[in-house]
Amino acid sequence: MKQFLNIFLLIAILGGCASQMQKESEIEQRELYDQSKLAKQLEFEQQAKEQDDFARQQDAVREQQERLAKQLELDERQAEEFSSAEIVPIEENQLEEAEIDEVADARSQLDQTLLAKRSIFFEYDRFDIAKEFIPIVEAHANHLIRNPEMDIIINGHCDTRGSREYNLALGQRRANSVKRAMLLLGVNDDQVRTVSFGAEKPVANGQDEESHARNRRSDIIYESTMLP
Amino acid sequence: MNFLPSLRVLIGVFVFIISCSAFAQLTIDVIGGGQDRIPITIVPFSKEKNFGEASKIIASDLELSGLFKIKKLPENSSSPARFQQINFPYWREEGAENLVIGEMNNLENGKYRVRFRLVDLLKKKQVLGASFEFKPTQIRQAAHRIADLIYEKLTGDIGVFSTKICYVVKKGKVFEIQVADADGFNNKVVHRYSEPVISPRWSPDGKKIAYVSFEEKKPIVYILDIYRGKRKVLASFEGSNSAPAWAPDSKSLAITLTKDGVSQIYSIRSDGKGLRQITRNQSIDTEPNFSPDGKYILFTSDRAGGPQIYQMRSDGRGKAKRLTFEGRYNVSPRYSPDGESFVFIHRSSGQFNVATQDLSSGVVQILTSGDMDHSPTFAPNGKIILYATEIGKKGRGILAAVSSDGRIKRRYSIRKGDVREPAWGPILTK
Repeated sequence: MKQFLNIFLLIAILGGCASQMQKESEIEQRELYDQSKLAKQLEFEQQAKEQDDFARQQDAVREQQERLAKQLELDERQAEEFSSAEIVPIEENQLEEAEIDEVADARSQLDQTLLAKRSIFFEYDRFDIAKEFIPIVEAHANHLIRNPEMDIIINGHCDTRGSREYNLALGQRRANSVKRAMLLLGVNDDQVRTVSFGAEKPVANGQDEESHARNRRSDIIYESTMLP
Repeated sequence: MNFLPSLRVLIGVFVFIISCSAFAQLTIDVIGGGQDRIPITIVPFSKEKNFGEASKIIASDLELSGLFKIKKLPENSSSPARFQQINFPYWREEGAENLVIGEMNNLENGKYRVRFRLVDLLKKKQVLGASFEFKPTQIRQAAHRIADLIYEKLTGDIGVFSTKICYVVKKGKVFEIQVADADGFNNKVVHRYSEPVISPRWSPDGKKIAYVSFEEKKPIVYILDIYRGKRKVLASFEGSNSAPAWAPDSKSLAITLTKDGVSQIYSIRSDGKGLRQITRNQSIDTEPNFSPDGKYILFTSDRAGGPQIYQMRSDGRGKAKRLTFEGRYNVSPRYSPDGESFVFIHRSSGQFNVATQDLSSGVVQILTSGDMDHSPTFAPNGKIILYATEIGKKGRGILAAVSSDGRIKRRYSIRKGDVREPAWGPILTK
């Protein structure tokens, strides 16, 4: 489009030279024809390139999935080992490099357990994230930062009391506050989408406080098959 | 999980008017009656047995309004069809005051004709008389029309027996929008899907219903032309699209969108174009409802912490005025048809109830005493408020109605399913 605009501009400028108008306009038309042919050629090449890129991306995604699947298997085993490991107290300055790595590993294991948790629960008519759920949000945020190709949807939910429309708005706020926290932690905006289901998808159907509490939540859902 | 899409297609067959199923119909019981009910005696119309018993439908309508006392017919009583046939001393002896008589006939054009008269037995005068033709399938409509005329003559208010209501029925995982006559009969499914649907709203001309469906895994606002069975997307912006409210001229709607983050109210033309923002806040603004003159909207906002009801100009100019101050949870406002008050859901001591508030005096009246009432909607004459409530431990939804003075209560029962989100349709002008 830009090319065409430039050509038109060129024509306009050249058109200004009255003396050579007739002759030059013929040349211009030929140039115009050549240029449009070139543009078509470029466009075609671009499309071909895009198709190639897409195929390459698909391959990369497949590879990544396989790699992740293997990694997950490994992590699962490590997590089991970790949870059954004996805890030995250590003195200050006792750490050696290898051991520091182990601590880092342990932290990543902790992240794995946190990542298995996908629901943030809320108080009645509230949408702020309670302290106890911040580590879960952080773990998912870190996971998304490490894996910028991953996308999530956060679904906001409410208990079944009160107005359905107000609950829909409140559910949106619950989803939004988890998203906002993740963005503050450094997650890309385009990795996180939010949807509210209000009171329409309760997980508990009772009318007691326990059921209501289970329904007031934001669920984190990974869009790809590459689950953490 | 691959079977899911095909299953969705199966269940999610999008249906328009399909024939009524008698079992899924709502039946109404009057729970509390008014104190000074108008006595009325309705004699079976002559030859009505061949046409569907109009007199019984009329009696049922008037009885369910809670304003009439239907007198039992004496055994072996005569059935006068014309004024001259009325034995006045006999009916006075029986204690009758207002008498309805009529006759029905077959016409050569295949239609039926009904003639009826309302007679004041004290004054021995006809106070109302009319005749009209209708198609054989319209017997209920004809009877509702007669009930409206009688109601209007004797109470001075507009009758709403000929109007329609719509509501959502949840049956297992399937959600339906049904349209029915105001007495619950003649119910038809106009939308059926395996994902939730909320907020059905009648267009002011009674031809369309705007609603919010989650069938695309997010809330989207649709407009369904119920008689043509045509549906279109009104709003499918990023985030939630919900809370449709028709402007009185049917040309535009107010909706709630979250495309810029928090729920805000916008105006949109009914063709889905001309989006314009009405509220601008960092708080939830939702559940818009237009005043009868279209100049104002009521809406719910949590700008003061909890949800409260506000009023502002529908063009978005000026400041919003907070209207509710009693309690910490006031939601779902709807103007009364005369624009002088509004109905809403008020929470106090853990109960959610239907309440009205006078716009000029601010006086609040709580009308119901259930635990969990939702979605109040005025009948177009402003005399009755239909709402959803819950019964039993699991909170099964049913519909109920209360007169705007709180004296008359009725319950709409259904054998199966969970009924919610009622909306009372407009009076249709011919």
